[in-house]
Amino acid sequence: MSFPVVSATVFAPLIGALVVMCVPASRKEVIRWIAAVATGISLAFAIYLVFAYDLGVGGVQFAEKIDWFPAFGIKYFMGADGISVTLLLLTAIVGFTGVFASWGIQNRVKEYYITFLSLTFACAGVFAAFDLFLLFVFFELAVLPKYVLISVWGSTKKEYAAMKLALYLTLGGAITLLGIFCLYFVAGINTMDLLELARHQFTHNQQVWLFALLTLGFAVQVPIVPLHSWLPDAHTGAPTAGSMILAGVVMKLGAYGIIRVAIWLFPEGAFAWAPVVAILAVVCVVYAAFVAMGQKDLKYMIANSSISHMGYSVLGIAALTTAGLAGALFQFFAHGIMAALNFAIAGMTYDRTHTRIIAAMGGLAKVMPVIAIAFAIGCLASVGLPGTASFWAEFSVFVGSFPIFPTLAVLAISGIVFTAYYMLRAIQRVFFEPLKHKEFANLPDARWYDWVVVSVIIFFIIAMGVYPSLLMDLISSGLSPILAGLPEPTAGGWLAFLGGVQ
Amino acid sequence: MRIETELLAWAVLFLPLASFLVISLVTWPYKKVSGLVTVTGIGISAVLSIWILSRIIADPTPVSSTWHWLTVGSVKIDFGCLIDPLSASMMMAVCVVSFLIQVYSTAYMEHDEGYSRFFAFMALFTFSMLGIVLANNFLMIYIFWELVGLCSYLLIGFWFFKPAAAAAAKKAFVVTRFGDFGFLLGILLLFHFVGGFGYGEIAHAIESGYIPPVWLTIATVLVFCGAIGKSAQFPLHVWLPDAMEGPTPVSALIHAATMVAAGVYMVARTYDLFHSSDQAMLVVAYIGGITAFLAASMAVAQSRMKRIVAYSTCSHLAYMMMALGLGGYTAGVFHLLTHCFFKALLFLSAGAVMTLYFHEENIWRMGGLYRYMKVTAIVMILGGLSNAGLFPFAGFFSKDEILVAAKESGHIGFYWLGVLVALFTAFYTFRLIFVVFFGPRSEWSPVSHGHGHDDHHHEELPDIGNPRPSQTWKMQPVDPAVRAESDRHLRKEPWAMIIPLSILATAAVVAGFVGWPGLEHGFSSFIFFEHPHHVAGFDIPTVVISHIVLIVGIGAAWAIYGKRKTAADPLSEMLGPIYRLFERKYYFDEIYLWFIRRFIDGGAAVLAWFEENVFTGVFANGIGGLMMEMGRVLRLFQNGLVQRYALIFFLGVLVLVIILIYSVPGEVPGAIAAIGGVK
Repeated sequence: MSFPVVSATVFAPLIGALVVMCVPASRKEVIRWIAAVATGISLAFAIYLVFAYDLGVGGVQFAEKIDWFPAFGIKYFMGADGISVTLLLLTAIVGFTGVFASWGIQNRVKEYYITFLSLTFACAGVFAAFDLFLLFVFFELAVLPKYVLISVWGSTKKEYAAMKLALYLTLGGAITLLGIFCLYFVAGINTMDLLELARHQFTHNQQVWLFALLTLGFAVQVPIVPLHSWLPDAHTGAPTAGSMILAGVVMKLGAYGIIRVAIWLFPEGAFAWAPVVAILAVVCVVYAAFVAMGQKDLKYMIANSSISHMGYSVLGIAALTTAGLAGALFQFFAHGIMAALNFAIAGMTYDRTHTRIIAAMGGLAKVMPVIAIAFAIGCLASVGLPGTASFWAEFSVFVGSFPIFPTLAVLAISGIVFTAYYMLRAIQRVFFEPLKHKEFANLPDARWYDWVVVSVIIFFIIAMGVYPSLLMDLISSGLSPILAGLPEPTAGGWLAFLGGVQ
Repeated sequence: MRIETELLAWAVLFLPLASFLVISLVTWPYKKVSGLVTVTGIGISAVLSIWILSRIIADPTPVSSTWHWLTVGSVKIDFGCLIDPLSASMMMAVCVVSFLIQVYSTAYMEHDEGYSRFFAFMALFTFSMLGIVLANNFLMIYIFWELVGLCSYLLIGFWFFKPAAAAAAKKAFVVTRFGDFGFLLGILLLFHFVGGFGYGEIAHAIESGYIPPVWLTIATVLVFCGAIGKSAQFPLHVWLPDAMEGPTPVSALIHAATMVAAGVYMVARTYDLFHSSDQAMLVVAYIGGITAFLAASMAVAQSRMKRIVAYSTCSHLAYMMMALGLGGYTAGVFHLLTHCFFKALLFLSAGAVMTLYFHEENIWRMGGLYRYMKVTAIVMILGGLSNAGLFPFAGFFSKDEILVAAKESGHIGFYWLGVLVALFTAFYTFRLIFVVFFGPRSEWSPVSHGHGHDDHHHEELPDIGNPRPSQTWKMQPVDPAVRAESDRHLRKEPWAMIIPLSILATAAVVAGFVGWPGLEHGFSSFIFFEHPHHVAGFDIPTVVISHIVLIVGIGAAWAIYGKRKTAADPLSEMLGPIYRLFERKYYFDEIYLWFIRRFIDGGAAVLAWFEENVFTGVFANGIGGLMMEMGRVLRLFQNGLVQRYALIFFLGVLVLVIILIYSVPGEVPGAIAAIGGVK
């Protein structure tokens, strides 16, 4: 058996965590470097996967199959298709930069890195698992470290935020689990292997209800309005790297579940529910954009903007076209790194100024130019400027969803104006204008570890903005089996109802 | 070996980008080197673009080259260039004007801390604009369109520590983004019908009638929204005067050859689309006509030098839009090209005045400056004459062509509107020149407290706007002796300014001759839509009318401002409330701001409240609280009293017995199943 690359990518952070456990808590520098090396190895493997994945062959590659609970048809089945590769890369980037973003933490460093690395491990596992049960195990494994991260190393309403997150996500998890049980028994072929389940023909009614159940469970994690209330509190309460991974990766787990499980197994169900999902997506985009505009706290603003941006993904998913789904998945990546950057910057400014209130800062660009430039790039990526990865994501979502839901797409596209408005206003109030407080005049600019965070993420933002085919081709290849099951889009009644262009 | 034209075009496009990358990654700590990198990069581009233009003049067959960029499902996205007479001429104008502006900037920005940053952004700006010029499909033009927006944001907000500059940068980006929203929708709509982004594909689809006429008109108008935003046309013109907060070379670049020109260029580039819908053409003409008048009238009552020129730009662009909308393709494009030169000249000479004159911008703090800066004064007068359209300056030929086009189109109203705007143009241009260079020195002129060349420590004077003659007694005049002392410190123009100014002045004087009506191989047989538009010679009535108007305008300016005694605007009391309307820009800013405050910010505040109190307060915390409450109630059953447990047990048994009594086994299995019975 060849070297298990996928498992290595996923487990490298966990092994790092185990090594950290053996190091005395006082050796902080050693612990940090172990974490950096572990996530670095994971990143290296992820990059290797991107280039080693054979587009000509497609499908699940680097597969590792070991029977786990044969009685229930549960296997340890890890592998990578184009989608997994892209999202593993995302997780590895956020994990790696998250380690450096946490370099300044002094409190319980050992426990911190153990938690953080386990979280990275669990998230990566979700994207690599091709066994439904295994996928769910990783999915649930990710909840616990988040709770710990927020409640121990968080700020402001941290206990409240952590508890809220845990309750919401376990509720979502419970619904998902119920859905998985139902689908297991309904299929009745005694397997949890996604590839085999995808071949099973579910009846139309089964598809409709199982899709609803599973999507409802996953929607909590996306989050889709009105199930989003945990997110702003959790993102704001979490420590910097926690927010980075929450916004960068955790939000994608739910949407990934919708594509990987709900749409792939129940295409007809997806088709039946698409208008509902699309309407909720547009509500996400517009509503969250306005809420973000009304925030006074920088982290709350970015958190709400994340909901708004994930709304684009959900719209792309609801469109059920190649461009829409590809755009949605590209948005996972683009938004993931961009939100990680924005939260990293919010954390850096918070560490220095000890405030997150937008109006209390001002003129920081003269004091910390590097951080200001990085934030400007993050905001411009958020605005969907060409040259950044987000542009391609949003554009393909628009191209993919416009013919299907014209009216809704127009509403969603209007989000580009609102996003520009609040993002640029934030830059203006935080970094531009004259320095507001004299005591901020001597704040330090980016330190070396901040440089690592900023430069790695900006590199990927720009690189994928200039050369999107690298990931887009992978994503398209990963989507082809999922799209194969979808019925041909036909102009039904609801299409006309929503103002279809004929 | 012959180098392929498209290869040259790629070089023209990517050299400025390379300059940007070199500066931002390598040379940013070394000011002089950074300036040199941009000047060289764009200089080579300029030479190459002239070379390309000469080739295209020799052989006007369009050349194009395409790289595949991205495929998403059925969507194919290409990165390609299209070199034909239109794009080659525009490319030449952009490169040459940008190059001259860069040379000028080396002197203008000499003492600025952000010198390297400035040149990096300028190079990026030039790159983005060249991308628009060379693009061969709608998506690519949109991409570079957005990049131009980004660069304008970065450059208008170059002095980000000034509140006005920071606000202006955001305003420019958001307002143009609003137009881009329409633009993007238009592109998506076209894609929906055509299945591609290429200009050729779309032209073909229009010809074959794949697009229903109604949708074609809608798509065209949506695409035009983008041009409204970028070219600062009514109703999205509000960002333009504020954009003057950037350094003057930026204003020159934005308002001469790049950003605002992009809108007009785009309409010309995609004329197949516009031409196919009469309604859309009328929209273009009307928007152009309205803006031309509004902007010209606002320019009459501005007090800041660059803003006067900015409104003039806005009005001239609208003129071009009007021409394009009325079918005067050649006229519109010709004016776009000549305008590049004389407007850059006006901006740069305004910048020269400001640099030499202690960074003062208000014309009422100037007056009689001719004696101190003769070169600037002369080139500015030349630029002004071209702007106003005097024979044989460049502006004359192109403006007259527009008027002739309006006349030929049959929309005679637009013709007279054009004449009226020409009157305004002559008046405000010479108002500016007479107030700044002639007449007595202003009583409120700034004075330099520094000695020698240190012009850093000038005082930031309050904005006096347009002083009303009857109110001047309230203002504090400057001591003539101090002023005389300060005047001795006035510098002369450095060579880095004189050279670009004289080149531009030459262009502003002679560039029009290529468009001499009736010329055998003139401009009209080089750039045209569908078939060349041949004219025998000048349209004499139009020439006469436009010169009468010109003389009236300049004469009125001389009568009002030439012989003034004091630095106050007599017009302000002659026109009364109308003047105030012009001065306050028809209150557009106030109306928009009210709307934004009320609906956008207000809506945001309401939804943020809703989020906090309804979603979090009622739903999340409410359900949580309900659970806690239930827990508290149910806890009472678990109280350790054995008698209570026994009671509950007894009640449970009672219920079971009742169920068993009333259900006959076999007939109602559901009831037993409901309590978990074994069947």
